[in-house]
Amino acid sequence: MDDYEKLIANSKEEIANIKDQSKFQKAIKRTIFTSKSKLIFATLTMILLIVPISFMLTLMYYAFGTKSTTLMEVASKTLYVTEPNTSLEEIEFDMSFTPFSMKLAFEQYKRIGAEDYKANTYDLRFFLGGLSKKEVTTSLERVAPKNPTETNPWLIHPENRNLEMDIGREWRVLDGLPDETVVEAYISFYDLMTVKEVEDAMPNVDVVWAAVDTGVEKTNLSKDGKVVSPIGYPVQRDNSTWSPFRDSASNEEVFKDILKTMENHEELATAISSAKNLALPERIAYINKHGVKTYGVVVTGPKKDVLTSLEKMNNIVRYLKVGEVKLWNWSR
Amino acid sequence: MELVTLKRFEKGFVTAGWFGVIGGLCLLLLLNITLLTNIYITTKNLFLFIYLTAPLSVIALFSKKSRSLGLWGLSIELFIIIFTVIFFGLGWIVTPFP
Repeated sequence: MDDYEKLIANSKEEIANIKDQSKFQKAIKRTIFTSKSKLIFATLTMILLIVPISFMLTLMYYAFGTKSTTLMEVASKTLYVTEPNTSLEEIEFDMSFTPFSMKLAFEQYKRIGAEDYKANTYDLRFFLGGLSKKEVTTSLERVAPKNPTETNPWLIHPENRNLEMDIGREWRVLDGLPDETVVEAYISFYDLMTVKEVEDAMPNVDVVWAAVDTGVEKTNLSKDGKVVSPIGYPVQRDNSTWSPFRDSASNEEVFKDILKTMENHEELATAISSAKNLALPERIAYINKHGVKTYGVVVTGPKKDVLTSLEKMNNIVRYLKVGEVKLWNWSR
Repeated sequence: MELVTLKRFEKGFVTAGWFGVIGGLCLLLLLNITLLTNIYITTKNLFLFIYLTAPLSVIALFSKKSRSLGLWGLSIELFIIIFTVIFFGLGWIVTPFP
């Protein structure tokens, strides 16, 4: 073989090598590309799994841990006993979930005269089992003090001497209302009474809510010096499907049961209620010892009937606070 | 002979595997959007995706090269199915309303 042929053979070999190498490089590039895309897609998969998995864990928590129904029950029962003359339509509860939290939105109603009016809209956000946000939008014209103190409740215990209420003004307001209106009035007594006695004394109006003496109302301070607000229960029969007072033989017993339920979730109940403290163990012990007696009630009815009932009970009624007033809706 | 035909289709299997995975990811994305915004994008789309991606992933299982992709796609779909079952199952317990 001469030099020329050798040269040709060498260059042929080189060319073949280069071709092989470029093939090899292409293969490497393709493999790198594939593994890179696999990595990207795997990361994407992981990221997209975060929300569904946390959602699933949230649902499991609300189904088997702190149950969503328990939270709803505590919220509803707390409002029945801490907010005078209110009721809820639980079927209209709007419950929705986001990862690790739950939203509960519902409306609260007030009986004024013979009809229920929307009083408040609640928007509660729970982070797992605890209340993280509470928003209350009120539709009321006369709103109870937002920050309860020991002197500002609308229902006052007979032995409570610390008062801010201008009683003369309230009487004049009630007297001056037109006869074509229905009113809601907060009445406090000189003495403790049973709910039956109050109902018998006021036959022409509806006694809708009774505040119960729990031993702390004399000063509105609990034993450890914390401000407490009135608690009580709805007096009228309530046949709406979801009410805790539905089909009950005695609302008083249901009230006691509710207090026990609330005691188990006291922190939550306090957060939901507008009261600063509930001091439930102390109050439950007092009720068990002294029985259920009322020191003040919320009544509703035509203005004229409310006024005459109050005048008739002049020796019993100590304080009056006029609540909501609506145009005539009385049909009895 | 069979191996040869399989090799000829290998590229197709890999492509099917990738489509399976991408389809699964789209499903996951839809699920994420639904959960985060509470807007239910019509479930028809969701089923269309499942019908489309599941067979593609199954096809990808036949070749060794694309088997991992097939398994990947199928596990995403399995996850979505399990999620749906749990979601509706627990939904009944968690929300007491009809």
